[in-house]
Amino acid sequence: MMKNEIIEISNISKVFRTDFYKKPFSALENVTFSVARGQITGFLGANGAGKTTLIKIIMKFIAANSGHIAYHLRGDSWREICLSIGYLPERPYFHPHLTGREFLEYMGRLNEMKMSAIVEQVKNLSVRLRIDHALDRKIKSYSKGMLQRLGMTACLLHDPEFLILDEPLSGLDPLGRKEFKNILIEERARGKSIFFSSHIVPDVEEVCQQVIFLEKGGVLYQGAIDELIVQNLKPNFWFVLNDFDETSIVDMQQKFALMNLSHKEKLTSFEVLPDQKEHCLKYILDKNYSLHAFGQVRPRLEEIFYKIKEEHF
Amino acid sequence: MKLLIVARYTFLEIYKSRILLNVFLLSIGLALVSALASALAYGIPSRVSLDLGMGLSSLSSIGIAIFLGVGLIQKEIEARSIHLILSHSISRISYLFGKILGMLGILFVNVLMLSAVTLGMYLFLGGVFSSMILWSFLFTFCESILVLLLVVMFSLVANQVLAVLFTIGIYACGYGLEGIKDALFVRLRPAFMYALTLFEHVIPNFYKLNVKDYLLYEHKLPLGYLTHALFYFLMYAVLLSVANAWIFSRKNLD
Ligand SMILES: Nc1ncnc2c1ncn2[C@@H]1O[C@H](COP(=O)(O)OP(=O)(O)OP(=O)(O)O)[C@@H](O)[C@H]1O
Ligand SMILES: [Mg+2]
Repeated sequence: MMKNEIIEISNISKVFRTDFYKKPFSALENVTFSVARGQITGFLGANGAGKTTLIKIIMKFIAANSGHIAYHLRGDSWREICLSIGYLPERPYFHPHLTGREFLEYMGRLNEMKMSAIVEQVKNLSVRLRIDHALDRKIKSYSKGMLQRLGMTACLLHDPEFLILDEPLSGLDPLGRKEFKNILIEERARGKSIFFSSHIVPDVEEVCQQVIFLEKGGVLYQGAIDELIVQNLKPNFWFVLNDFDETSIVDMQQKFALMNLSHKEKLTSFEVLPDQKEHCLKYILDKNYSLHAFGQVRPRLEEIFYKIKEEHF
Repeated sequence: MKLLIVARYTFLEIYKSRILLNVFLLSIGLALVSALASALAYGIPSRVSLDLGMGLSSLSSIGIAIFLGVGLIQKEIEARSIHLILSHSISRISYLFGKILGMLGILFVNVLMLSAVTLGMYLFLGGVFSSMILWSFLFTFCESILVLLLVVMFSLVANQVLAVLFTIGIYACGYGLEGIKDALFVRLRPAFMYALTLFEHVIPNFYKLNVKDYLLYEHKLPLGYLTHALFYFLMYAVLLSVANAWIFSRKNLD
């Protein structure tokens, strides 16, 4: 039976000893979480939270001091596991003297692909990732964004079932970010599980179903983004009024606690507490103010994280 | 075999970095210089050019082995390009020896080109062919293999500068051992002699692999000596390979 988790991380701790006379630095402490199969999981955390360190441990580049990782991928041997993982490093930097095409062929052959399959995949992917024009140039002439695109191509080349991406959106222009996000969504639709780190909350909110929030080497939250938002929904109501004059505002402020009051050209917007919403709406209608729009406030993931963080520390 | 894939692309990469172009220019330079030297210097012209050619091939392969070898793995670790490679389905050991094999390919081409030029000049200047010349080139190649394995090993445990210094140090010691043992100072002190013999079992005796002098003075070496030296080389190559594999498979690659 296929498990719902594609990878399970249990109690991983990692201590770095930089110099023997310095105090050992604990980068990860008892990190436990799992990544859901068939979904996009965002791995959020500030700079230095330990995201890259954990990904390196998952990929076995460095050893953890304690803990265990279970991979529920095709095959049991590490060789087979690698065949079903596509990995994009944090700082994509490849062999400068090879051309992009040679490099991709190299990667494909390491993953036991046939030359004909490599050629076919490179043709399709490079167009999709808009790197096809540069494939016959040496990698050392690539810009940062181009390296990122080449790295992503290499990552998808062997059609792995699980993508592990360390900050895939960094170094890309706004259009590129959009394209990469679409690719993540498309790849999920094709049945892949995706785990990617980022410190940009709106990006994660946009494409992910699941989120893991790492802070100073520990997991603060893990689970579905929707649940997190529902749990933290403070259903304030917002109103936008047209041509709302100064005296009416003062009038209204005496009756209701108006929050986040702001003006933009002819529009005035504010929020009221949930228990005042009917009352407030009735008041506006009675007074014949020109109501432009109203609705329930949906908090942004970012604010929720600030809140969780405050509660935690 | 994945090892061969790594070797192939390592060779391709170093080749494309134009190092072999330098070797090519070097061999042309060598041809010119040896032509010039044999005309000007005392001694039999063919011999002078042979001496020069062999010296230069040995020097250039040791040089290439050390200065490209020190970055062979280390540079990939520092640039972290190693992460992407190892995320593919290849074992660390295959990767390590693939890199080394690719580099050996470069060294081989280097020795081959310089040898061909040297031999060509030698025969052109009227030298008589001897199989010892080929042995000498073979040993030049063997020597550079040991140096490469040494410098890779040191680069895995120390920084690049130290790795280069250690390797040059060991190379120099390995060469000097034979000479020191002959010194009167040492011969009179058995303890010293004993220490040196012990030392000799740890440090490869590069002198054993140098048959150039025999060749130049037309001493024939018995085949037994040559095969013994070859075995000696193989033993060290295997030993150093095992050490490299042991270190690399345990190394933290962050
Ligand atoms: N090799 C190392 N030696 C010592 N400390 C290290 C080492 N690698 C990472 N660290 C420390 O571990 C902590 C976590 O680093 P890590 O690179 O995992 O952060 P990150 O979450 O990926 O941050 P960013 O968003 O900036 O990429 C940092 O404080 C870093 O200084
Ligand atoms: Mg990072």
